[in-house]
Amino acid sequence: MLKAVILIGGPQKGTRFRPLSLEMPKHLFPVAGYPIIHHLIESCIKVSELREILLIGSYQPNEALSRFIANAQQSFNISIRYLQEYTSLGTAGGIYHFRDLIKSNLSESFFVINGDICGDLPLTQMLEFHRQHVGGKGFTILGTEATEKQSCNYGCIAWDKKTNEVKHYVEKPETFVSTTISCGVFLFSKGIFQILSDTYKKNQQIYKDECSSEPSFLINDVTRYETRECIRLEKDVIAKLAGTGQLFIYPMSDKFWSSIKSAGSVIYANRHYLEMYRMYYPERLAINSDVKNTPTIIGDVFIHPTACVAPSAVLGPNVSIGHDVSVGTGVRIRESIILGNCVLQDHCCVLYSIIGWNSTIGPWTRVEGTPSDPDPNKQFSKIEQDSLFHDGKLHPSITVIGNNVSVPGEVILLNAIVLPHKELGSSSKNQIIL
Amino acid sequence: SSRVCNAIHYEADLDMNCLHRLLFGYEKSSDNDDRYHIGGATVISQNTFALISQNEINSSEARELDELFKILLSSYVTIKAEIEKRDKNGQSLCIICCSHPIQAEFRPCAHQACISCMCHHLMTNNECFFCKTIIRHAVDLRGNIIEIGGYGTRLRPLTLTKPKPLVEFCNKPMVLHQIEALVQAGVDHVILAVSYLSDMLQRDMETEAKRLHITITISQETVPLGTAGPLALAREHLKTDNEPFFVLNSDVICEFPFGEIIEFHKKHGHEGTIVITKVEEPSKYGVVVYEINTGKIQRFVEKPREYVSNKINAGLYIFNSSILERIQLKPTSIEKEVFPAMAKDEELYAYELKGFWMDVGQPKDYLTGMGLYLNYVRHSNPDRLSHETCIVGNVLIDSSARIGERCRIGPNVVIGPNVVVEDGVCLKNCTVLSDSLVKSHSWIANCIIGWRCIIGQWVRMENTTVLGLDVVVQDELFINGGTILPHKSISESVTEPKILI
Repeated sequence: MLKAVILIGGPQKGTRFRPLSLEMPKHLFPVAGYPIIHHLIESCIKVSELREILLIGSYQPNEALSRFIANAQQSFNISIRYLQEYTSLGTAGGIYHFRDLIKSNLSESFFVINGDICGDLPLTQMLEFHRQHVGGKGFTILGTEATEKQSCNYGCIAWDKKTNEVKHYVEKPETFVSTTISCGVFLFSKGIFQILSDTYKKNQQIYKDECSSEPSFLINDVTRYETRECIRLEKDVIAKLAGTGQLFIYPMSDKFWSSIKSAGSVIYANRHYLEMYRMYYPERLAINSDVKNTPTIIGDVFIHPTACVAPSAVLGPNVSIGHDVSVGTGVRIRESIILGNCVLQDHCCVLYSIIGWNSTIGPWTRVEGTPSDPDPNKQFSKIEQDSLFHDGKLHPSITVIGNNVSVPGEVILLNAIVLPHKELGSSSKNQIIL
Repeated sequence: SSRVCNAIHYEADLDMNCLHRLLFGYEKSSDNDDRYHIGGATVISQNTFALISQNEINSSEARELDELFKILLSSYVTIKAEIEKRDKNGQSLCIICCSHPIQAEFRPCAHQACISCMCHHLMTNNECFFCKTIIRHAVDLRGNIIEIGGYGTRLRPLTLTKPKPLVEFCNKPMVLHQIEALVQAGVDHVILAVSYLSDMLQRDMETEAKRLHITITISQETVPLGTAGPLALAREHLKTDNEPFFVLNSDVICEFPFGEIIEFHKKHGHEGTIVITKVEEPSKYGVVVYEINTGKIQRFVEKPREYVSNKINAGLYIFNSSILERIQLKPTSIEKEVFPAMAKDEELYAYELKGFWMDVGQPKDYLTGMGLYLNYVRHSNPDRLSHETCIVGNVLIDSSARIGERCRIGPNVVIGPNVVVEDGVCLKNCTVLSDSLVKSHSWIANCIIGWRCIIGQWVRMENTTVLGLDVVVQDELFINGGTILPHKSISESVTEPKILI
């Protein structure tokens, strides 16, 4: 059986995604109408032989996650399970910890996918490449191109263009190594378990050596324990495999790929997934019809079937409307995501923003953000990973309204971040509102 | 003449060497380097581009060129010597153009420059060159406030395409508010003192004169005459029948109780009456100190640092023609020179204005004044205001304007003739001048929209944005305090106040 493992990390991760991730795991955040992992699962499904997906993370089983998994099981009709790490074990520690579950019924290889990426993943082609060129003992990593400057924010791969062998791998180098970066998607043969086992034992040894020189009262420190069990996929495994003749790269063509770290990248991913729907799931896109009581649709727009949109509203391009949302008369929404249960009252204007669940936007209010799109002048440019502040001021970015926020009418929110459960009183520009 | 020569030499780009070369060619120095010197004007070089060697120039013209250059050259030498002497004495040049001396300072930041650079700068910018502080005004080196800009600049960009007296205030040209009130009080001859005459003004005033059956004369000053000089200029018109005459500042709006002012003036029988009004921040203006019972004015205090009085000069006066003896035909300030003298002679009295008052010469005050005026209309003539369902508060809508559905108009909105407001628009505290279009779902507060503008859909404008004639604002933009000059098309949001030319 062919399997896929999706790593979804834990609550300590995804802090740049706040305030959206304050009350929900980042990977369940809906982009283009469906959670991020849902899109990844759909990419996996395209590989017809794949029969089981394992989600590994350190989130406590919460309602949202359990509900998602139950729904996913039903809709996709393959086995989907969540394996909870008892503590954060690093990006590869979980694979090692649950090795028996992964190995059971495993035919040859399995995919490992990083949970916070998105893209038009060519998994079937990657599998074919792996079978033909890499064989039963090797490992394949999916790579894509980036600009020189931005490559330093990712894992860089130096590879032989003729044989596709990975010669060198560095995670977030300080100086330029290569424009080819890791997509966070791997295809491992069963040999990986031996390597993980060796790495684990080595870490234990290092720990023991460190311990013997430490005073005894520090040995029970929980963090030291975590470090002991922790295996980092990129640093401990991939970097070590580079240059050994076992690791190969399958380069993605210039199809869409992005990592999702911040609100800005969500809007960017939203746009691309909606565009992908045109090819793979055209029934999900709203149609602009001349029928009298339908809203005006421009470009790619997803509207959840339970949402209610007034006919005089104008939506799009690149808009996702969540479940049970109510869009009032004369509302304009562009390049934004509106999450479930929101109410957008008459004549308001929402541009480049994310509106959290259960929020209300008053009449004639303007909610506007600034996109942080990749540089259109540079080929392979990726979305900017800017820090929140710049020269002491808040860097203009996508406006994010947390959940359960009430925004009064006739105000403007420009480049603002509003934390959940807030009742706003007045206009705000370039601010974080607690 | 020396004035012309000075003007030419102070142009920063003028280079006498270049001019010589252009006119006469050049004479290479014997060292065979490329520099040339201003030699004798009659040297004609081999260069065929020199003006003087063209065939079209005849000998008498050549002589004239020669003369001209000699004059320019000698004045250049003189000026250069002066500048050198001045630099020796530590007087400096304007560091922006490096040609004129420093002549003025900005307030409040005290940065210095020459008047020419300041004028150019102030035409499109209200921030100091050096420190970006908002400029309140400029003073000369002795501390006196100087007029910079002129020609109704405070209400730009509206006054760029229409003379200030004709800019509409609450759907009526500003000057007409005053003229109609004067006519009601029995005035039959109005003199407009202007510094810049436009055909538009002349034509419109002829029409109004016919309509109101009065005479309107336009008195144009060719040199700046200050606030009193124009009276001397119009002397023959004013001295005709020995009746007292009104003098009004054209930016002032109030109830204009001219009948009562005339009565008060005739009753005390002295030379002049100033209308005064109570304001909240008197130190911004200049206060009047007077005897409450008689109204006799004792003195004026400019921008007092301690509370003296809360009554200020409202900009409306009535004088006997004997005042003309006090005014000569030269730049004179009525507040600084004439009034203090009259007060000393105990010939000046104060009439306290009741009701609202506003100087609407600046956009922010224009909007405040609009609110006050509409409030006055509500009490005096409420049928003029609009009472439809979408109206909130005091709103004046011209009968030819069209308002869409589900709008919210008001409070304090004036909509001019032929304006179209589409569905779902919210307007608050603003004026929309004639022939403009505001498309659906926009939200506009505290703005002045000029004539023939087009505001797109879902536009948000606020914070005293002023649009000149024929400005187009595209859909879904946010304009926060923009001053937009005429004929401009805006395609990007203006998130912080600025001027767009």
